Amino acid sequence: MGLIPSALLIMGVMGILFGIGLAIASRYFHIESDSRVEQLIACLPGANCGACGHAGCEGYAQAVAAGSAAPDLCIPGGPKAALGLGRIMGIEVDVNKQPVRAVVHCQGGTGRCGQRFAYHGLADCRAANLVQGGPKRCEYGCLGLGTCAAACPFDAIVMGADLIPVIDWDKCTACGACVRACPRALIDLLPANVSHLLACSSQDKASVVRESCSVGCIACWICIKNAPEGAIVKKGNLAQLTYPQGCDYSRAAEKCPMHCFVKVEAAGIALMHSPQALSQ
Amino acid sequence: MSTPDSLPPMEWSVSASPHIKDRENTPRIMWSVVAALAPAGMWGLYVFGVQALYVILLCVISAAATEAIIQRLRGRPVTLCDGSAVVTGLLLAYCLPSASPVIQNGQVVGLTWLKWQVPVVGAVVAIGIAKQCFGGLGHNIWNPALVGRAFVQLAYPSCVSLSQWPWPAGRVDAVTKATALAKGAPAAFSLQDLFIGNVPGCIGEISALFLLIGAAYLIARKYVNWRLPLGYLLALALFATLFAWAPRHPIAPWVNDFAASFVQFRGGELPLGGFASDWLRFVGMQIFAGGVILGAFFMATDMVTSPLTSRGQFIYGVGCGALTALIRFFSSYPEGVCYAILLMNTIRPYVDRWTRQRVIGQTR
Amino acid sequence: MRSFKGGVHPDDRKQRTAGLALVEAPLPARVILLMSQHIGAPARPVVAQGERVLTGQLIGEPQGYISAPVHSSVTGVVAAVETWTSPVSGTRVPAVIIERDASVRERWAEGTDLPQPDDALAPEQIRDLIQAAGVVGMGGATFPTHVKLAPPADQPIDTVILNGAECEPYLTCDHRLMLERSADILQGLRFLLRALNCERALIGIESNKPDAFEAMSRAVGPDRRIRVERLPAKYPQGGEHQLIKTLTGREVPWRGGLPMAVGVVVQNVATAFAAYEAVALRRPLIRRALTVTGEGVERPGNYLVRIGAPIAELLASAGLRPDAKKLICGGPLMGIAQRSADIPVTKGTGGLLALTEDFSAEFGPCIRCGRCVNACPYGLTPAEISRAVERVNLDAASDWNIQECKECGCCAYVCPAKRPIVHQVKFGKAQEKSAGAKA
Repeated sequence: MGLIPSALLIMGVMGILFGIGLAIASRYFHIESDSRVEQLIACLPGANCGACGHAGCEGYAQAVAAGSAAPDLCIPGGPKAALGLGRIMGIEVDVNKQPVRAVVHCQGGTGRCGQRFAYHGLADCRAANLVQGGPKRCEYGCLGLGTCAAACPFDAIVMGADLIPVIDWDKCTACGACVRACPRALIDLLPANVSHLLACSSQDKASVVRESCSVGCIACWICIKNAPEGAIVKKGNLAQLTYPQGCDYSRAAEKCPMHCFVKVEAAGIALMHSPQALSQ
Repeated sequence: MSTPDSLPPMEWSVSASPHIKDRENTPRIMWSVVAALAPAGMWGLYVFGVQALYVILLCVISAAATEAIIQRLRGRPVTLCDGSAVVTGLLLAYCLPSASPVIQNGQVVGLTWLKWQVPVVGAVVAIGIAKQCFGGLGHNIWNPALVGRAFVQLAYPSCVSLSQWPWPAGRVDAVTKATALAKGAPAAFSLQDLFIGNVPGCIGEISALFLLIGAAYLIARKYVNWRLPLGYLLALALFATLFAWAPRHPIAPWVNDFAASFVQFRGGELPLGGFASDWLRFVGMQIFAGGVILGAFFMATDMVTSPLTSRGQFIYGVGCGALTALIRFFSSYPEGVCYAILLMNTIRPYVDRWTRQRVIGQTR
Repeated sequence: MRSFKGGVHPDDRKQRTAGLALVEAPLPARVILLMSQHIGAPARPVVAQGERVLTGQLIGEPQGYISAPVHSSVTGVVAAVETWTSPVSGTRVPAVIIERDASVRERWAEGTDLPQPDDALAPEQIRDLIQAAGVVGMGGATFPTHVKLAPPADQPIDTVILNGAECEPYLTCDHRLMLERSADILQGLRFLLRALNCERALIGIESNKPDAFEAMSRAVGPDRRIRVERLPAKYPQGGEHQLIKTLTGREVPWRGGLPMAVGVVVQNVATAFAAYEAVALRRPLIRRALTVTGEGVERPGNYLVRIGAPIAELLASAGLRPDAKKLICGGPLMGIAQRSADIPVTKGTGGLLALTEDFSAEFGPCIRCGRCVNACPYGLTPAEISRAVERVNLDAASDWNIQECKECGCCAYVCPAKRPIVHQVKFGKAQEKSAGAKA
């Protein structure tokens, strides 16, 4: 027999044998799986960000298929994913929820809030926070080592030149990975339609704040007097915005002696009014 | 006592403990390896001349250049000063031939410079693919120099696996001979020649003596754990002895001599003395011919690709030795050091896992 | 003597202060008494601003069993009850600040400072006196001593080990204490033995302190229960696990096992001294021995200082040099680098170092040299832990037993790539803890 015919014969016989083997295997080792899981996964963005609270998109799809999770938990997927999941599962989904975006409640970058010691160690905010309470002068302020930026699965966060994270709202899906990563809980998800945010998280007394930061809330409560009743409340030594329907904070923002308020543009980057951050 | 205000305000340096550290550092280790490799290199230069210098320089420069360029491209700091790229370049050069024989009508008529592509491609593959692709220093799975060497072995077989090698004594007259390990090689090499390095072979591999001088320094500095080369040599001796009379294709005559003498010994026809000296010669040839000394003391002991614990190092050495013997006796390739070490590199993580230290107070 | 596996031999740098006798430091004008100077629940302040307090008066009440009381270390007036930076955590913790009244002679509070004849106190009485005096482990761990003196009934103690190893470089206060107060330490040890109903004690002293060995041996005298042992000089010889292993050959079980599980209680010599003062003199813990040293001070020395004394004052009187770069409470291997000198002496502060050389440089990739594996006195594989934490792989880190690490720093000391392995371990443990809290 020639080389080519024999090769063809051998390969052909092997192919038939393997085919029979696979057929038998698929018949006798078959595992029942919920076919809907595959369909559900197809509706999800596949970023495995964990915003839904499950282990990746597949984990969430399994939970939805098992009925243990609601179909509208995928934040990056938005209404489209929610509708898709709801259709597969035959559940009515309300997609008119207000979208939210991540914002940073600190603007004490380099030049505004200094270092209290020369830190040597791991370039991770969570690790730096373990060393003598962190190198930042303000014990509540941003440590600036970019753990949030590294955690963002959508590359929506870059560290500004002043070492404060800048969030690109076009890319941000509000998955919350940065919220979980920040050891000082400075990042928070706010409705996309709000006009201002208070970019400070310090609970320190005014004297301590003044010593450490040039843009920290000193609990003077001037903003409260310049805002509608109940729109700003005292939370310890910090003002907190409650965002009642249609509330305008521009007057309060204008009057804040420490310039703690940051105007939020409707779209695009959450503008810190720092020229350095803008240039980034 | 004065008041706290008398203390000037200072910005202290703060880090996690410990606050004092040993003076040892990575560059010092790497440059010590370079220093330890120097004697064997000097010998290579002495016996092979300027052609060997050309190969060494090409290897080292291309290794360093590749490292620098890739680190620049990756946007990482360029760390040529740590010496690790130089070590890789040197090791690669040490396992390449110094020159190529010019063959006409099956006869060696002269020696010519090694093709420049061989060292350059070897170094680029070693640093670029085997090291930097895996994340750079400390992250590579395989010894970069050996990967480079294995690559050029396949890419330029006629330049690397020579049937006729430059002969040290005849560097002027372009005399070549088969290496001691080659199948059908004449049993012309005495153990003394092999030990000192008066034999044909790769630039840095030939002189066991000068390699051992460097290795002794590394062992004294504790950069090399002696258990690894010991395991390597013991296993090689043991397995080579076992394999020597297994059914095999024709190999070097001294192996056959030994096997014959063993058969005779078993038959009771020879006094023990004759067998023992044959065995010593056989084991000596196994250890001193080819790349075993360079491999056992400098290649396998590469920190990144060898196990962490002493126990692991010994077991790993044994694996390298056994595989070397296996390849030498049962493959078509006369030398097995390179592939043996690369294979052991591959299972290194498992060796580390099996040979974990016992935690103090560990129950179970 | 067979030692433990691993460890390192740093230059001990004790020469500068080993020959200097303990000096009673001048009384500070103001003391800052932190309410948490011990492991466990912080104490609760029981004095108010403006209140007059006497030396040894209770000002912080323990909250729970694993806690310790805090006493005023001077006679004066409570200036404030607020918060102060802790040298341990670097964060602000509750504190009582007392201005010393320089116009009056120091007076001890009622019921304290009453030298007692060594009468036959029952074990419980000794324990109660030590608990009431606020004695904690003074080697730096600051675990409340009375808890260690009350082992569960199923874990009888057959050996008390007195830790006089003082294996950290630079520090010499325990050494001086053993030389100058050997009889008192022995008396304290006998109280501990009686409290534990134990008939055997071993005193471990590193071989680089032969004079302390002599002094302690003399002080033991004919007491057959107590043996003084010379230990190989190696860091961390004074670690609890290593000390027990070297002296008794026993191993404390891993995964959170305590020395009690192998019938041993380890106490520092300074703790024994504090126990002596608590029981024989009825003095609460208001002072401790402390070494002020390092290349960054002109006049190093060994002092007996009041708890709560401002560290800035100690540094100023020791002559802080302008080229000092690092300020450390404790030893150079396990001590805590401070961000400010505006902190008080606590019960656990055995050393105050001003270092001029800063070793915290840039670090490189792990080259798997295995030096850390050989140095680890706990049998861990620091290289793998460090790599696992670097890729934030908590599963791999716990698989390599990150939780067994006691952060002694041997690995980071020997690492040629200068990797901050202890920092990585702290980080990995913290991440694991927060992951565990979420789950």
